[in-house]
Amino acid sequence: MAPCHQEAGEKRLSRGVRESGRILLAMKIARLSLSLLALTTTLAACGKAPQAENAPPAAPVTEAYQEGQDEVENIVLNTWSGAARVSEIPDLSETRHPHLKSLSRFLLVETPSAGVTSAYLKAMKSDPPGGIVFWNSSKVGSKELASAIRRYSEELEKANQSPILFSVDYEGGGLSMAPSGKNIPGIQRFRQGFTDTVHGSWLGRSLPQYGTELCGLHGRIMGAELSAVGINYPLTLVADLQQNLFKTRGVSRDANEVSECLSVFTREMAKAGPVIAVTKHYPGLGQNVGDTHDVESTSIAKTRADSDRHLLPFRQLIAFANREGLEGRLSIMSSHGKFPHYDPHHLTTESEILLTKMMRDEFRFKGIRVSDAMWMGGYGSMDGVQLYAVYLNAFRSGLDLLMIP
Amino acid sequence: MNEAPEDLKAAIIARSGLSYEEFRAQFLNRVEESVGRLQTTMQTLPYAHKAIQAFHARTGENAQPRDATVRERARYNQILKSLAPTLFSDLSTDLR
Repeated sequence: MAPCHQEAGEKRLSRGVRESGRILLAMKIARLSLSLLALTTTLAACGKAPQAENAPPAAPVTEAYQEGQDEVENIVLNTWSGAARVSEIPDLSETRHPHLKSLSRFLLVETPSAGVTSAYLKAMKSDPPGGIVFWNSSKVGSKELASAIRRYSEELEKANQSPILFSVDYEGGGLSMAPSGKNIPGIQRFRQGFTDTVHGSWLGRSLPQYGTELCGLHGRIMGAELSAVGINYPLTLVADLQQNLFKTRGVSRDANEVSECLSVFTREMAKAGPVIAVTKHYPGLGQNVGDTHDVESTSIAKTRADSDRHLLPFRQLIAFANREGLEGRLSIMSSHGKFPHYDPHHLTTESEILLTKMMRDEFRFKGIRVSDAMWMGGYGSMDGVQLYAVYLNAFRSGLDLLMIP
Repeated sequence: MNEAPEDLKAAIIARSGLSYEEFRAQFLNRVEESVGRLQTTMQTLPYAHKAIQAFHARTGENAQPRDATVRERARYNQILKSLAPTLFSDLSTDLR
């Protein structure tokens, strides 16, 4: 996801550079994808820059930064409205199909703010997305987040729409100290009002002495605290092995240790509140070099067995969820990486082999398969038609939710 | 009958390696499957504002999320301090 995965591993950028990079990327996508709704006269463009309706007490931001936020929201709104109008292309949408009146339910839309915007509110009442992800660029706290979620959710109910998913990136790392002793900013998008949690690597560090107790507490604290503000779909711990970009975010280099920790984490999170744990980045980005935010990242595993070692935590976690009746409490985020031992031709995002034949049919995964942010890597340089074809093909390949942008 | 724009069709065919008709058939099947998954999942979740209301009903109107995890946080921090006493020397293990 855009703001969160930029903090990949040890190669973190400084906050200022990171925020600037996000804006540049967003603006690049904006330029290239605003033509989405011009694909056809039946895909009408819409989406003015949203105005803050219930603005949280935002930290001072520069004009350029604000423009970047508006660009991101424009991209989201354009894609969102495009999905809402797919039924107007009869050849593609099969108008007699009741579920194809709108594809917006298959979008997980991001918002840079943690507030309510009038444009999002309007779109949400008419064509709700599958969910919304709060970036929290302004670094607000639990009170503002709960206020925004409450508003969106109440309006949905008033409009007789079913509930949606509310999400934040929340792996841990509010306590930024890594086991190496370095101070590495973590991925805990909200801190004020919440417990500061640690990087995933500390959970692995605790295993020899404490078993999975710290993993369970990590899940219990997150589940209880996030559900208290209405978050029900947090993007949580990575199941990637602790290698390459994941030396701090990863729990362990040992696949079985990762499985054990994440299983207990998921179970305790589910016990603590009505929350679905989203685990990243299938089928295991620890085997890749290169950050999928910036480049096409390909596995460097020498053998299929080596790739299987990285895949194992996902397989075991799925098996655990199925065995424990937690199928609906586990969601898996696919990576934008390429894994030649499984599918030499496609990124995971568009790999029917990885998403459908393996994850769904072989591993029997029954939860939601969600994409990583669709502005990342090569996707960010595509134009409207190409990008829209990617969205449709990614969905066809097996994803249930696409994170936009 | 209106058709999808030709440039979109061409992009879909190039992207998927399928004929447009095959793509469309698979796409429609996937809609069925995904709608089912999403509906099944959402049926297990309350409206978010009701989860918020439930929290405040339990812990008070002015409670913060961290007020729900006092014991868990104390133990969490206790474990961290034992793993790295210097790095985590400031962490509180108080039950408050």
